[in-house]
Amino acid sequence: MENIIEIKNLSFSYKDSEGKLHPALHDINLNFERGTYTAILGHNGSGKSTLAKLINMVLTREDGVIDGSITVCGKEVTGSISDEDAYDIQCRIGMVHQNPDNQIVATTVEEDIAFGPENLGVDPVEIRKTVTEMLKAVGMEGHEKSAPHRLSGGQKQRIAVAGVLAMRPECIIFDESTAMLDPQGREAIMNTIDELHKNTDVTIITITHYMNEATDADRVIVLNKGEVFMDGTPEEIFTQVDTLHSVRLDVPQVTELFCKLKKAGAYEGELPLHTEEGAAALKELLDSKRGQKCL
Amino acid sequence: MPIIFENVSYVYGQNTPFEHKALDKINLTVNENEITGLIGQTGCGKSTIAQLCNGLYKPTEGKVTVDGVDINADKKNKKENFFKVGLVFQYPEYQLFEDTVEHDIAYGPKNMGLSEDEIKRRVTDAVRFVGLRDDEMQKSPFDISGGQRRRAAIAGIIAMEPKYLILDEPAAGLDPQGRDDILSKLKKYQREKGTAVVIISHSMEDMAKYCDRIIVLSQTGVYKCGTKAEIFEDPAALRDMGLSVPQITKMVYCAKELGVKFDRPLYTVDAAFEDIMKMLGGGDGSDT
Repeated sequence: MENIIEIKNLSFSYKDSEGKLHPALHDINLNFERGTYTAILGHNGSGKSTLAKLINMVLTREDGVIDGSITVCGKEVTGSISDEDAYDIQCRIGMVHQNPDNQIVATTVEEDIAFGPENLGVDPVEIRKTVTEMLKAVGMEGHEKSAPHRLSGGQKQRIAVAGVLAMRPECIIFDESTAMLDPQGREAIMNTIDELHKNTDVTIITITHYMNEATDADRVIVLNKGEVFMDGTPEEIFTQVDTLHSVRLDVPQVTELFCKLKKAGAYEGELPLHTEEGAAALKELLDSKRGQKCL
Repeated sequence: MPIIFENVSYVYGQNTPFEHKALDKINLTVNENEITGLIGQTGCGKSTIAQLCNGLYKPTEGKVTVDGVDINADKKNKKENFFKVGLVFQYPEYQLFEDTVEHDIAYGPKNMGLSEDEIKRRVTDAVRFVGLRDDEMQKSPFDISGGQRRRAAIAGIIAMEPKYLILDEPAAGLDPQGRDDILSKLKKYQREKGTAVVIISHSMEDMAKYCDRIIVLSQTGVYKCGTKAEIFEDPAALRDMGLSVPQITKMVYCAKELGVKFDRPLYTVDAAFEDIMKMLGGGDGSDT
């Protein structure tokens, strides 16, 4: 598969108003394959959001010093880029932010979703179809005429996702998009992400502090102090419980439990990440113990 | 004496086209000397309750009493109550404004008309609790990291030594260790000072780990007040309200369906570990 994003030897330092430099990323090398789903984890200040903002050019050379390069859809976005190309890249890489109120612009749901395509000069008949299709994709059919501010946090965030989808992006970055939501809202967004991943070839990158939300990704990247610290499948990453703790992170509760059991010598198998896996492993563990007793 | 809500209603934008009833005749009690968790779906009125507790909002109907005094009865009560009930808003770090961290934390106590010595003592005490470093005290609040800014904002309220401390999502947006750090410091503060602490949060895991008692709000009012065991015993009802139970509790329910028997409800990793070790130790002997 082709890489939609290629990052080579990337370092970035923010420049403050006095011209002083504050290093944020150091020598990052990462490739993102088209159609994959990656979760990026890291402590506060580890550089997660900085990386995302460099990819879709919210941060540019005007904001700091960039070394190395990021190439998106075959175009280098960290060098000198024409306005036309920059515009094109920003259409291809969508972003869903933490607070949906910051990215909803219209007074009805359908107008909000239509805002992007309208600006691209898309035919109104086509836009109508897009709105219906995108509302369906995020499970919000029937809310066309609703006022966004009357919706719950999770619903608003799904409208924000629909608005981004309406631009037909090739990649969507979710930057802590569930941080302000209640459990149901969080679940709705995670399901939306899963559906997108299953049913489309959109490349998905999520940034999160909730470890449970990273277990369904194809790949997990851990940033620490501006560097890539770990990179692997959720199973490879979350089973390294102590290493994650050392960089201010955590593991899902189920994994933590089995890690404790393992350390106590009571469990020998693989560490489970999901609820059902954990329950099954526990049942098996107790059954085998009972079996031993009977013998 | 606790904080008591009696038949409290609150209507936003009353007599305007945007009129919206946020709370409808609710009754609840915040006990002294414990950590109360307040959970509920977005928009169910958690933050409205927080602001009613310290008199920023006045109930449209009903009465809020703190230590037996109706806080909205006259102006004097209201002012006293501001100092008695400390409120930490969501993302409080955006409210810092003084030139140094130290001045920011001292702002509240200064407004209480305390002596210089007393202000200094309180600031030092608050700083110790939240874990800010000495070298950060003379810095501008805008030059320290986000997590430290959050701490400074909380210290500013703690320095007023409120009898009741209410925090709206104090750990939102922090990394896992940052969350644990702030919440365990609040617990330590509560245990040392005997202050009543109310925490509003969307994280069931955090609630299970740090609260003594939980109040669940639904869209129609207070659904339930009780211990963690009482609250998390019915995951289906919580789910209907847009809430959830901790992942470890979900796993326990899942294992129950597979036929595993547990002696008590489990909602923290430590308790689950303890019980499973017991089960593996074969201590029960009741197996046939």
